[in-house]
Amino acid sequence: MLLNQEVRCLNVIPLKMDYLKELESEAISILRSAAFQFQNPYLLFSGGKDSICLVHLAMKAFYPLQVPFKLLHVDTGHNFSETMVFRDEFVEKYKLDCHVQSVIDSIRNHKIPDAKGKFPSRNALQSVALLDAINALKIDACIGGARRDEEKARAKERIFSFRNDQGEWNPIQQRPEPWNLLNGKIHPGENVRVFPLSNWTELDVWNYILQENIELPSLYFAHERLCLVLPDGALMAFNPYMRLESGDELVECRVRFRTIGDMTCTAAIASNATTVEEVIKELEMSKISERGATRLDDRISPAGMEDRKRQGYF
Amino acid sequence: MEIARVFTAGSVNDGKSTLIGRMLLDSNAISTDIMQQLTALNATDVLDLALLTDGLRAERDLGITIDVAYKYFTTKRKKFILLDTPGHKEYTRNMFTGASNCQMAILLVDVTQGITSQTLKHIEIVAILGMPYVIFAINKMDKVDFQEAGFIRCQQDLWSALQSFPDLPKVDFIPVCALDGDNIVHPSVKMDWYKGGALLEAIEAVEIPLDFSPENLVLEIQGLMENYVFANVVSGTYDPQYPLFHKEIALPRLQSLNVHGISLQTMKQGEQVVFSMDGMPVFQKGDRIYADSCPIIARDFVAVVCWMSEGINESKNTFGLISGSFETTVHVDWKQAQIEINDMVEVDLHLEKERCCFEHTLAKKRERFILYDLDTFSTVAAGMIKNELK
Repeated sequence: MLLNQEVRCLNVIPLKMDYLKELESEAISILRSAAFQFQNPYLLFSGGKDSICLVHLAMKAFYPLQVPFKLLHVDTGHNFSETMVFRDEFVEKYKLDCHVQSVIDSIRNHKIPDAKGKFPSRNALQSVALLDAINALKIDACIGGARRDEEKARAKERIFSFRNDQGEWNPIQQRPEPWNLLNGKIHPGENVRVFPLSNWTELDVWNYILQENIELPSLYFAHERLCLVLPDGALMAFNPYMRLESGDELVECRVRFRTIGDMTCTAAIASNATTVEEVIKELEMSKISERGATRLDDRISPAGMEDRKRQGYF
Repeated sequence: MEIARVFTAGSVNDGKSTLIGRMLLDSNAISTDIMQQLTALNATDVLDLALLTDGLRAERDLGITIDVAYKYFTTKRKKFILLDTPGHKEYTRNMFTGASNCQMAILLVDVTQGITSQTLKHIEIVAILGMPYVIFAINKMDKVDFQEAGFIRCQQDLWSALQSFPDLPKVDFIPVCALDGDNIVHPSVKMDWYKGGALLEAIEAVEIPLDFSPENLVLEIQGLMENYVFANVVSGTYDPQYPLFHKEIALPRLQSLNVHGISLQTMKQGEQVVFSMDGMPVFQKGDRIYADSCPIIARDFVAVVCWMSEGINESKNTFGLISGSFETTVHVDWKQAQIEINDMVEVDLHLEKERCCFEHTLAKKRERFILYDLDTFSTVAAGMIKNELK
């Protein structure tokens, strides 16, 4: 070999932070940037594991002071009751201020048709309610728990993701973020979506939940539940909004949820994992992606997420 | 386990997205449902791995990468964040952005094409950014029957090209075939003349050192709330033997708050801290607290700038500047009449507010900033301060 050098260590002393600490530090830095760059930032809270982690990170970021963000929950009216109970207890316990924006109100006010079909999902309608809240509360930054590993359009999104005065995302004209330098300058009416968990994966979130001993809704752990088995094997939890047809059979299954969205578009997975450790083991073995396993709303088209985001989605 | 941020760049059709796809596929980071989507999107029998990273409709329609795509996978030794960056010249700014957030680069060269003008641009960016480690993946070895001659020729040409840049990074050359996976994750059996490791082995082995010397401690104030100062550790580590300064004035003792295990005594570069002090001076967002005895506190600097927006002429010279938590307006002396998109130029900066820098942060190219348009607020340029303008 003429020029090839042997791969060698530049420095034999391992001085790097552990990777969860590095991710935590990055997220805290982003949360602090949001607090110090914006006038009226809100934290989008769904009662799911990612936004619960976000609140935990915000508590660390501003300790010993209170979290300087209000929470915003976009409530479709199709949430699991366990999520709602968890939300109310969580908000109470940590003395948080949570604004609930109702999708049903937005449907009424804008006279838009409600979701229809066998599984009537108000998922896309959440964008309308979110934009209503942004306008009504004069929110200039929405801090969300979206991660780049979730989906290929999200994989393209910035940490500070600019939205125009219509709430629209323009994916091919994004502000560059060299060295993660975050530009939160906006005109009145525009807003920025802030994603502190951009570089976390599903497994990172779970490992962090384990490390920090973070409480989650019981839906994330195995339990018995009456489910409708779809032709592709997906397990839809029986709920009052689904329209059963003749031939549909409900089966009692042992399941848990990998994501917690609406009852109408979030599938359960067969699981025996009852602890965080068992969930992590299960995920390490899993061959199916997080959204692939659970989200009916992503199965529309390859650009389903991109199109929703362009229109103002989380 | 640590995080390694790696970016890939190449010229058009070098097979860069394919290489990332191959790395993910062969390290079992692609789930079956995503594989099914790929198969469904693709009309031919050959798996089009580029569809994994080209996440936008426009990219799939044009068959090119426009913006940075982030992909994640983990091996036993490291958690990798891979940034797939565009090859087209017109998107060089996106490549610069991707590269800036990484500690190592994989630059693809098509063995049948050799060095292109884009390869030279990539080398220039890597050199300007001070990237510590660069791997040249000489791709499409299948097109030259896996023969050593083509590889050696590429290697020699690259080596010559590298000589014109100062601050040469550590460099490796690896012959690969991304399409079939040769020397990507697994060593190739078709090139027994190559004695080095596969690409993944190379990026797993490298350690990038950080700055942990107490005399180089620099804290930057992110913001203030009530009586608390929120800051991040720009460099160094804390040793109470070294007194701390703010604007060249020695500070009273910091009162450390032991927040999630990070006290002032254990804080290290990259960490986030909070503290308070008795008789706190007037701190502002972006101010620096340091142990270094010779700060450079100035308004006028020489910098290298990558222009990322539509072409302008030199009369457009006032911008907003963001560097970490520091913000000010700046007048830029372009030293040339016309500045085009993707140009990388040396300029003079005249800041409205004083900035506190240090020899060691300048030497490590860590005084980085973005410029934004004062009307549209769009980010229009990225740059690094080289030295004080005297």
